[in-house]
Amino acid sequence: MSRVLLLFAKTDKARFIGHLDLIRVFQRAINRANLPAAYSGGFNPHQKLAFAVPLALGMDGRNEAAELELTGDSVSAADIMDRLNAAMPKGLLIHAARFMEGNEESAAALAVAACYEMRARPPDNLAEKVRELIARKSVVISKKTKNGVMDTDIRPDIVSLEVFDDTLRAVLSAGGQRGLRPDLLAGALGVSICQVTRVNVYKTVNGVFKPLFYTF
Amino acid sequence: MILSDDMLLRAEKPGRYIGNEINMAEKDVSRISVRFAFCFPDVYEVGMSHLGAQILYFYINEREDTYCERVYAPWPDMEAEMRAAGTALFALETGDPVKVFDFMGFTLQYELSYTNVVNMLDLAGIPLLAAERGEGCPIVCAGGPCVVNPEPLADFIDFFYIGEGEAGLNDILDFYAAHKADGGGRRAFLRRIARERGVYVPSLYTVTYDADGLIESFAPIADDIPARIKKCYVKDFNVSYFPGKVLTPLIEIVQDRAVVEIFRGCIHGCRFCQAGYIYRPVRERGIEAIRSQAEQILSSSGHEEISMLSLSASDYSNCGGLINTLAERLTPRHINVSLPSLRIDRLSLELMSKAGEIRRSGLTFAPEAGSQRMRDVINKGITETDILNGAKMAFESGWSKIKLYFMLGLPSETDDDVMAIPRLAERVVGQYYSLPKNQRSQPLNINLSASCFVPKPFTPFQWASQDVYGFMEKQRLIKKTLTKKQIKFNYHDAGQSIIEALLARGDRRQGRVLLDVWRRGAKFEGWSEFFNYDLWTRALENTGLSLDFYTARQRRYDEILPWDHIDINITKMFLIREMEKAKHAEVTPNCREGCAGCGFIKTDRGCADE
Repeated sequence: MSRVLLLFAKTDKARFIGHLDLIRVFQRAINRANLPAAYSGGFNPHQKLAFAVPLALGMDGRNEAAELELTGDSVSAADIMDRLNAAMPKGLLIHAARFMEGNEESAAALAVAACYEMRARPPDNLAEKVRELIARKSVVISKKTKNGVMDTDIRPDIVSLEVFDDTLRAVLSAGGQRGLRPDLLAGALGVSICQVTRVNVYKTVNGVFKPLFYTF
Repeated sequence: MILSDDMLLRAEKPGRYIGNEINMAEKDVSRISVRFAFCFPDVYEVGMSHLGAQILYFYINEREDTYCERVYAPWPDMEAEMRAAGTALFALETGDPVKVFDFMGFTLQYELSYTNVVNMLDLAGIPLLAAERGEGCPIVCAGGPCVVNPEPLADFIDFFYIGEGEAGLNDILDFYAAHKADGGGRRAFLRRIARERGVYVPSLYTVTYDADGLIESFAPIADDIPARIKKCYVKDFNVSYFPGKVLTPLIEIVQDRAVVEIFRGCIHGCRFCQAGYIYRPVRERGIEAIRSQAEQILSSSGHEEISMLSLSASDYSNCGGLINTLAERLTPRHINVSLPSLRIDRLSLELMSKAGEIRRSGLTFAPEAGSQRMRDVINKGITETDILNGAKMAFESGWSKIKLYFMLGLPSETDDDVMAIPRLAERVVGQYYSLPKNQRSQPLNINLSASCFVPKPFTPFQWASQDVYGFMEKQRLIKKTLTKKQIKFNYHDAGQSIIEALLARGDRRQGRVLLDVWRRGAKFEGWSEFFNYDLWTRALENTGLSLDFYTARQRRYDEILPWDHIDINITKMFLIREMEKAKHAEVTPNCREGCAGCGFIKTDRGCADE
């Protein structure tokens, strides 16, 4: 058994593939690439494939992470990447692959935050709105949850916000523990956004954000 | 992309409109001389699930001079976006508008999709009526099972192709490529291909009606146009075209699995079943050919399930051998083999257990009718004992979810026959409780489903009256009679079946109804959430046509039927014989037990038309 961590981009037409469909697209690509995928036991065996943080439909992702278990380590990481790329539809591209350490935590468990870039639609006074929001101690919004609409303070989920011309770059909490969707942030800011890109997904190493994929 | 990001993101499922599937054909349009828009008049997930459409897509794309692209009916949310933005109907591969194509080819799989055909022509910006189209307009053609009665769509379609596409569509495209290179026009092209087998150009035929509204005459306008159009079909199923790949979607579709066709046609002659007659003769594909196709498709698609397609899988001559061969190769690769359309007997249940079906799904039994008399009338060829034994074996093998499928309104049906439906369902429940308690681990779940019978062309029941006024009462009768809580009764909207019957046996005058009902907003009529019966009654009223004339009316054997000029090689004499036997509840043995003389001739290499 070996675990492979894949770093991939989801762009262009592929961004209209939702998360559940993306799982199927990966599974089929893995089969077409003829990789020795490991299967779960039980009545309905499925490939052991997991994504770090689901990417919302319509969003570009530049550095997304997925983890795949194989039955051996007969195929090199470079081969896995090449074979998968030959089998992927346009818009999905694996840029890197590496075997994971035996005791390495899963990508999904490590992910804590993500960086998003989004363009605000005119007319806006984006910089001013961002300054005003950052200054606040709490930002309470109504959030739809499983148990109905709830008031939630999203201020702790905003790590940083930067404005470059009409583009907002936001680092927001993301992952299993807690997460803030960029559209909810935009709602709180009172701006209308388009072309959202998730630039990277982070883990924390000694209190510092590091890209999820790399071991350094 | 032709649709803006905003339009796509507002849509319920943007993945329907982006193409980009695995194995999608990509060609340099500047080097293509014939552009073919393959149009499926339903939503993407339905159209993509259709094997025939996939076969023809790859078949046409084998040609270097032709580019076949796909078009599906946009869901009403996207249609509204497109109309608001002035975006014309486009093909998924290149995003180019359909109106620049040479052909717009519709596949007609069910009658309730006809309004979508009209709507797609309109969305494409193409004149709706064939008579109004000029040079520079795509040639609009149609094929598929429904075109055995092409008449209701005759006003909209330039030519119909009758039969199996892979048997002769290439010849038509060859003619077209040569004709286009010579600078020939559309009229001359249609006139030329009208002499080819399988081609029906409705504008080259005239029809007159008598005072009662019956067809008085139907004839070609010139001597060189054939009076009857013979269907095309594949003679040898082992060498006929079959693509080694499949378009693998990026979003979930209705039938999300690889499919291999194991045989075409059916040895049974159930008298209500159109597929049982129009797909004759029976042609099998050998185990070796099936295995090799299955492996090719799986390795090019990456699917984890493969389904064996046919009208009745257990009639495959060596079904056990086939499943063993496939399971041996595919199970270690975590690939499921599924076998839909099985007759429920011991062999089938064993096969399904082998294929690992139990854990996934319920089981469907299709007795079609409740009483033995009624099952003999329709020539179903199974007895109540078969059904009850089958159910018992299924329960013993671990199934506890069973769907029982019946039809209401079959010819000569009485209340006793109707009452036999819930009675049979309750006996099936009884079979379950006859098992020892330790074998009944799951709660029993019987889904009793009753649809409304629609008489179809080229079946012995093509002359029969539809029970339009009896459906509701019969549904109520079943509902009233059922007492067991394990049985859930599902019935269909009779309105949809009545309109389906109207179109199935309609004539050319139906073109006016389709146009009128489309103008009133009818589309996606096969979807109960969009079907609107009132629109049809208003359209019929407005066009002066009677619904009863087409649905409830019993036809006479000597009447000219709207589809009499179509020759699927099943003789009218045979169908009359079968109808007469139905009246006496007399069964006809299946093709293997004895030849019933349907029109095809038995040879040592299977049945043939000559």
